[in-house]
Amino acid sequence: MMRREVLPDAGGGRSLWADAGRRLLANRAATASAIILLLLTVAVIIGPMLLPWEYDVIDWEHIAEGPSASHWLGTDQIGRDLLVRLLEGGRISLMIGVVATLVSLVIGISWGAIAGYFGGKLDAVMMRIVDILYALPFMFFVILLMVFFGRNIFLMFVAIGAINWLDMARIVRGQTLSLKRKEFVEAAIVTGAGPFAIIRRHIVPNLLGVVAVYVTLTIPQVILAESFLSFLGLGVQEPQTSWGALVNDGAQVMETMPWLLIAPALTLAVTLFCFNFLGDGLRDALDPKEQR
Amino acid sequence: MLLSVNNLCVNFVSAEGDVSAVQNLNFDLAQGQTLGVVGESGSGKSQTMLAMLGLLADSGRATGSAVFEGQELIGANQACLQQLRGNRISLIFQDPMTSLNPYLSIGRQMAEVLEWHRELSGRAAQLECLRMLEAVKMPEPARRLKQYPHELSGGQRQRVMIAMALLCEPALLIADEPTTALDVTVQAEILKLLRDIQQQFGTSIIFITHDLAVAAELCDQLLVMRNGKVVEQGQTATLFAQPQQTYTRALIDCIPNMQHRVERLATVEDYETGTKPVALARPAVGERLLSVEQLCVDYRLANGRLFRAVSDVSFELRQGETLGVVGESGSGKSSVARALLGLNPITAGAIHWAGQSLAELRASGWRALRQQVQVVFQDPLASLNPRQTVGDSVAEPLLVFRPELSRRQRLVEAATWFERVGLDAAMLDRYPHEFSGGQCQRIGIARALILQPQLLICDEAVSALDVSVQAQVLNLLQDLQAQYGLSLLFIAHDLAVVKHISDRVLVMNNGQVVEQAEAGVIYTKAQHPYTQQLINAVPTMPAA
Repeated sequence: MMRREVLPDAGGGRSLWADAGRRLLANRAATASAIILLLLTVAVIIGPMLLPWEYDVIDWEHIAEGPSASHWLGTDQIGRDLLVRLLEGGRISLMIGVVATLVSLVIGISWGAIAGYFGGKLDAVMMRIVDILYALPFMFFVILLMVFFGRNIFLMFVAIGAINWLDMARIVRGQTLSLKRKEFVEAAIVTGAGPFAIIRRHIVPNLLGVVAVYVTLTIPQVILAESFLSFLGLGVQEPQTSWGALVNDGAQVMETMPWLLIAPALTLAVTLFCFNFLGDGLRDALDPKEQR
Repeated sequence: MLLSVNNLCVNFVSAEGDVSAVQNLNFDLAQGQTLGVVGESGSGKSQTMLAMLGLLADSGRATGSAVFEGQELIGANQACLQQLRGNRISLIFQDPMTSLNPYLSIGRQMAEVLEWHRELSGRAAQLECLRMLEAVKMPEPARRLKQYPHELSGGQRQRVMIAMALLCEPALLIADEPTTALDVTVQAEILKLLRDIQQQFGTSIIFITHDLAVAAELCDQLLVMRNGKVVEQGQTATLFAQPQQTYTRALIDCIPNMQHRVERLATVEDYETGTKPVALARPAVGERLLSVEQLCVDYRLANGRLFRAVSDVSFELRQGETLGVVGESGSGKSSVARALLGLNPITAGAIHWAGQSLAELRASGWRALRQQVQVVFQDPLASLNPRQTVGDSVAEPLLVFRPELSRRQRLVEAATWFERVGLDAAMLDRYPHEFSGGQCQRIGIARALILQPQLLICDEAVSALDVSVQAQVLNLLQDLQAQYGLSLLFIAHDLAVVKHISDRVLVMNNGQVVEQAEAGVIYTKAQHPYTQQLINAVPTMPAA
């Protein structure tokens, strides 16, 4: 009877997520990355409010000048402060990166897991839909959306998210096919758990390793896709900007005004690095076999 | 002396300090002799062999001496050892499927060994391979050369492994649990083959196993290991007649015996604590719970044709009774279980549970049935979700059937069952990989019993366990059966195990029931030749 008293403490708090959080905190690279990303997010949200410049205001006295005391990162060809534009662009880029990835994550995992778990005709129909969407050229799809709904940023989210979940759905379906034959899934069927409970409790947690890796690949992909769309004039428009657009602009004048390329490129690189470390850390943290 | 091992120690370096895997091992092996190294998982028996061949993991350190044909193996450089491995010393592993490359034909992989060590290739190599396949009595050897590993059965694959190991006519063959993954009937054939090979080629063999009975079939000398130390060593006959150590005695007694049936198997703990728990009385056999009539199960193969896995199987099971189902892999015994659990559709015939036909059940009916019929699977680790704490795994059925309970209440219930299956409730919040195979199987049993079912189906539930752990799990099943009046459907490939635990035994072959008999009389009164074959396949121990 002594042992029973151990239980409330021992059995209550330990879950996959609580453990994952603990293991993630023990991973220095991942924790540092998470902190940097958090600081970046805070900076892009409140930074522009604190700075004396506006992203679309021209400083006639300092046009195309390098970093100085009044403009910490310098100004662009028409005299706009780069720092404030970098922060302003970060809002768009980070939002696109996170939101579009989340959209593809949610749709992709549910779609793939359901198709893979139920199999048969449902699987065939669901995966043919994926194939058809794959066959649509991305640009064609975006242009179609623009023509129907007019240009707006929200549509860009939809367009990018709608393309990215396809890969995720395929990967998840493949993993589900092999997972559903495992004995622990059969054991769950025998205990009377319904199909959606099994997908939620047994399939999805075991997919997280692959998904975490894939997400770290998706976020940079999405941020770059946005800059591509902006370059074609389908994404954000001047004077609004994004990291992709800033890198793009900077690249055109890199010989005369290198600071316009260095700062945005460095920020983008650091962000992507952090997402990668965080993704790797998450994958390890979600695996109970990791000793930490 | 062919091989002489002195003071061999193996240590593993880890962050928490050194872990000793093998301590002060000494043995000699003469030309043409067979040494059996017997021990439970984790006893250091495999590490010893890996140390001698320079195949230890990076964190492993070996000290001491092992002299093979006058050459010191411990500390020898890798180039030197590579010349020996596969040439003078060959290895056979437990799982013949994973030890063969699935993308190379049998002939190709075998020839590779000859290219390495004897510089033979092309036609000459193929002829040599063919000769060796004939030596291991492979049916249709010429055809096998062109086949791929997945086209062969488990036993055939192990024959290929042995043929490969013998290609360079090694002086020493190390076989690491070579029959553990095989059916008993195939095990008997492989053991016979190893004996024949030894006579034909004069090879010395080191045979590593967890099963003393298997070792006794083959070996002249035995070495019993535990926790990295030698417990006892000596001639097989002497060791069986007068085991000096209680551990050896326990290892002998924990194996179910075909000839005489004990009420309860002895375990290592019983011997160590000097206790002798008595078997609880078997529950009274009650009314009929389950009846299966002319059950047929078909599978659709990849080429679209139907394969009949189970044909015309009929049996009954009463409350509190244990029905054993025995047969080789592919005999359809697991398909019967899966049909009962609704995991496979049935093609023809009927299954009645408490008078109700399973075919007529709707979703709610199946749910009610789930509460009464539960299962324990073969692979203890694979049957637990690696990303769930074992407490959540055990408590999961409650989530479905008693949703009114809070998580805390469910875990309290799980803790009760944890203790009933002999585990510490403080371990509830661990993950499956932190447990041994036997413990995982206990957790699987706790999950199956938490709803207090009437029938427990054990599908090869003890086949993946060491014999010493197998005895503990069998005892546990018997105790739980006595306490809760459970009916058991016990499926296994080892007749001795099935006979030990069952009231009646059903012998299956090629999807059909070939014989059905009372467990007590099957040994003396077996009618069918296949049953005889199964009986003969059980390793016999020298009389104590």
